[in-house]
Amino acid sequence: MTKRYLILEDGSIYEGEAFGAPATTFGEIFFHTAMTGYQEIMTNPIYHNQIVVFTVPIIGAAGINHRADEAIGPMVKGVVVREIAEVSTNRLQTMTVHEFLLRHNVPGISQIDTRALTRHLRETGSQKASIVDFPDDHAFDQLRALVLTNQEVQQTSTPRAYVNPGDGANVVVLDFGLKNGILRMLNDYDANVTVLPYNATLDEVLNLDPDGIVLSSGPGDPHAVPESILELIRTLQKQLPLFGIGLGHELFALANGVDVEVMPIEHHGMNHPIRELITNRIMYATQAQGYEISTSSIKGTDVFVTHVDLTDGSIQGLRHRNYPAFSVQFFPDTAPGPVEAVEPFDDFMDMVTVRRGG
Amino acid sequence: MADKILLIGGSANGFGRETESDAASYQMVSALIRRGYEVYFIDDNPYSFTASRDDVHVEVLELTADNLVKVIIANGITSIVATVGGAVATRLALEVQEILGDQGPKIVGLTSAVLSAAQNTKYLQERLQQWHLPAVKTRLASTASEVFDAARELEFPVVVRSIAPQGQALRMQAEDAEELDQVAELALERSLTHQVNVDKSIRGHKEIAMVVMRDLRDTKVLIGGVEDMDPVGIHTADSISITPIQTLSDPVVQTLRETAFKIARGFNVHGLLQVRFAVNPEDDSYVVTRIIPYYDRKVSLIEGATGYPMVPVMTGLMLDERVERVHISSRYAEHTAFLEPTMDHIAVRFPVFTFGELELGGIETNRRLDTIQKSVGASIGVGRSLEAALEKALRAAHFSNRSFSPDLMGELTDSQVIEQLIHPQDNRILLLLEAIRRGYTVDELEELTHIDAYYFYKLERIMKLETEVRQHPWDMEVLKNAKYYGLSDGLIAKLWGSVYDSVRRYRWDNNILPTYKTFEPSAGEFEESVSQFYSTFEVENESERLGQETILIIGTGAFRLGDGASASYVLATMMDEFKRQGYQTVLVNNNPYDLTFIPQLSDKQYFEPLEISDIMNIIEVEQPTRVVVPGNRIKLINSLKATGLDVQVIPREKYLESTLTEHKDQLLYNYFYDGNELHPIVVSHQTNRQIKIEEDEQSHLAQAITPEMPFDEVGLYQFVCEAYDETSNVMQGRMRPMPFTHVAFLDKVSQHDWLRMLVRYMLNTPTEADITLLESLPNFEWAYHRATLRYQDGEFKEHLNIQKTLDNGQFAMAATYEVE
Repeated sequence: MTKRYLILEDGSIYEGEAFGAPATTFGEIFFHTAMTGYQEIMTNPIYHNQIVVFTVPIIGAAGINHRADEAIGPMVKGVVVREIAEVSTNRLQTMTVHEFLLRHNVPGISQIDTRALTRHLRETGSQKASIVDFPDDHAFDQLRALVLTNQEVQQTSTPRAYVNPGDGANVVVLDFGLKNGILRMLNDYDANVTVLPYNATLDEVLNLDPDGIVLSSGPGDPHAVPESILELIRTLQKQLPLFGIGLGHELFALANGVDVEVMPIEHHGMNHPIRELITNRIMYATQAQGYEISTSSIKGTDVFVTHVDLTDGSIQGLRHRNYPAFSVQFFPDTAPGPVEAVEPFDDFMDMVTVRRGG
Repeated sequence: MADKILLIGGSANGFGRETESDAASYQMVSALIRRGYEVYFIDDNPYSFTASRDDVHVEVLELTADNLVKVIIANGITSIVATVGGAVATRLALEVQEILGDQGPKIVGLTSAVLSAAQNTKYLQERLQQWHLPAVKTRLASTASEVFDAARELEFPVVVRSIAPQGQALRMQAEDAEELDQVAELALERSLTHQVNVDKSIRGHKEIAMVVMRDLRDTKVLIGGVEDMDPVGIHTADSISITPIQTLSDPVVQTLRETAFKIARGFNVHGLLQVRFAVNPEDDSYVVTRIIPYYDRKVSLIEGATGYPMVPVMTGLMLDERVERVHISSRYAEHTAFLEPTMDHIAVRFPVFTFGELELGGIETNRRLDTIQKSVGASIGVGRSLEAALEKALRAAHFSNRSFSPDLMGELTDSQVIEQLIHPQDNRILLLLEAIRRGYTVDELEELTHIDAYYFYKLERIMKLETEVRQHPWDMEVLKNAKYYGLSDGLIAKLWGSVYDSVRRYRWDNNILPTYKTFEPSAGEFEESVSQFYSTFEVENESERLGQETILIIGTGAFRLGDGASASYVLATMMDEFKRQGYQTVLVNNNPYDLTFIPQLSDKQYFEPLEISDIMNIIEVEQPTRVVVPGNRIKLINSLKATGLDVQVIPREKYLESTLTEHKDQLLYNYFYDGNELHPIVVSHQTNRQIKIEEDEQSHLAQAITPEMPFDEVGLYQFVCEAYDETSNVMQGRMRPMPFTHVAFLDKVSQHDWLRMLVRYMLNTPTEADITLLESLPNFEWAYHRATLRYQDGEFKEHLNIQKTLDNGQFAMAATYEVE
């Protein structure tokens, strides 16, 4: 049992015990309220460079199994939890969470009063944090001097195109930090998927003769993504069915003249009710968002709101008035999370089918 | 004119039902009255707290379809609620519907299809197949030979279940033809229709329950899931249950959630539905085993563990309100009804068995657990780790510290250990620990018990922790760790060869103090001012002293044999009166189903064990001006008094003498003691079957010479009269605190709130009317000529396989009553 510390930019210190790698780590800290799906959360590229606090008091009982990976290895910079299961008994597991994090050089810290930490973060919002051996001035100086990268998409997107073959429609996925769940869903429709890097050109996209475009989810600030992508989206949405998720949704909004802003309280969990306005249907879905669509900026644009979060009224979906193009803020790929929110994939594939037929 | 709505009560308590449905119906009445309904309530349970409300029309009638129909017609009832009276109410609702047809009142929230499916597995199976959902393989049989045919087709082992059973549904497992021979006839006899379902056994699978809400627009919310530590094959009430679910991965949890939603939608449920599953740990395949469309103990456990306002929401939804608009108390954040609860703590429910008490009473029992419920109560333990929650639940179940000590199970031979691992008994948690101690590997234990290995690792950890504590006396870090994982001061003292008080002082001196956390359904995401707390040993404490003038009320904990439900009634009534008298009240209790946990009854609730150390910790936070304690907690009372606290004792006998098994009529003189003088209330009779009050007989009361009073505390007392001298009017016998069963019965049939009056005397603030009433005693206007309470002990035979006559004065858990 090695003592370690979680320190926050605002000077807070939390004492805990080390697990995973013994490395020192830095990142933006946030809390996640899901009770299941820790592996999917740790491996979601949207959390690239971040430190996750799990509010559920124990994780790890189901171990690590590769079917639950959303990327190759963990994407988070650190894991904060009350208790880590030392052993797991799930028949699918190949290693424990500790072994997994150790293998990928990611530190974890347990025995933290995560409820106190969560209540603190609820008040302060996200901030920089570090897991260190000693919470001395030096550690705080280093933490405060740290400049977080705004190159998240560049760092998580695939450097080169690849194909995930299928017998169905030709779908191009623009990778802004793609998670496996999106590919799994497209597999279910037997789509022939080509994943392109975030900086693909219009020609590179159109040369593939796509029937539809998916703008993937991904990490970071949508404003940090090169302006050229917005132009690409504006061109593609006129020609092809287009579907944005998470960061892809935020980029779709920006491309259509809608503002995106930092959320006062971020959403990371799977328990918020989301209302689909046209049907009045309420569903639950996994959310992972630090940015939101500015409601006041919708007016006068060519998009309209399709989904809202009932806890705070934040916009969760947009649709173009003139083109078969739409987007959702939440994660419809069920990895992890409720399975009732998959409909956007159905809608998208319907559009793709119509286009192929016509 | 207001719509008239009828709540069907659940009749006598028993193995299937503690006070959870009474707690639910009490809250539902408030929610209905708020919406302008005129509420009728039918029940013959003398311990019903709902029936003591003065804003409800109470019908004291036997719970039969005929009586319901009479009440419905006589009062012009337009709607029926069948979700807060246990299985009895759902069965009766269906029967009423069959009698009255379309002319009858609407059963709110429930379709007849869901009522049928809840009672008839075969029908449920057919519907599940229609929806392509996995069901248990079942065959219907109405003769013993058909039962055997079905068993051969499905292959042993099989489970036999009565359709429309009299009383609680029983699952009887048969491993082979010989065992089937024993259960087939019994199961057929228990069925009102002489039919049984023969199910393919799913013994050894994981038992999971999901509780969901659904509204008329098909919005569905998962409120929570419960995992049983013990596999299918041990009745779920006898199992150790844990929420949230511990050992299933996200995709499996999501599949079960979605299945529960599909079923709620398929049956068009408006309100609450619980779906039970058996999950095969080999491949994560699952079957739906049961659906339960009413408020039961699992629902109550989830309500307690999540802090979700279950009853207000289910009431709104069954009346066709939408989940995003339903009214809940302003204590909760606005969105609480439709936020899926997420937990940042773990709750463990531990069953309480009373074989030991029965054996002390000279009654032979078989301690082996199976598909028939044996436990009579339960406790809840809450912590931030499974270890702490388990330790606290165990302590709350009144296991002594010896529970986890190595010497208790040491005498078993190795073959006895193996035998009990395969066929678990009530004390199996101790056995599992003993087996670990003897070096059985986790794999071996999993193979023998079908309990997920995860739990063995947790038990191993508890044992390691104990060893560490023993090896490091007075080590601060070790102590801190031990406290966090739920070891009590008493156990630590024992391991250190010290006494509880020294450990406690040492802890205090070193600032190792409990921190209290709130139960709220957002895991800290939102600010909610919820009033429920549990303790842990961490950094941040969320519980501040409630106020300057508070009363701390110590609950009665888990039900055991005897007066559990009536004790719950007594405490709840008194708590309510303390509040009415203007005090702020704080409750500590650990029976998740107890009436005292009704949110309106207290300002603050602690879910904690009731040992002295737990209570002292709370007293340090709350600094109450007064502590109310049931009178059988003598050690606790003395400790509290020693610290100079103002202790108010509710007179209660620890053990009632066992005198009722003979055919004898006991003559009882009942008194109110105001601190100075005994005031005669009523003469009653008790036999092993019943308690009776006759109006005619009361004239007798005035002549009897009031006996000596050996007690000091204000309260209700009872003189057990052994001999009465007709010439001198002097009685021989002995005085005792009036048993809670008699108190509840007296409150009901005299239509006077003796308990509330008692509270006013405790506070020294009797009203004019109270004083006048006491002066006029024994003259009292009796509303009825005769009132009879009947003990219901029929279930003992089925559940505990007891053939001998029980002393009902001591053991009966359940009763009904009637008035003429």
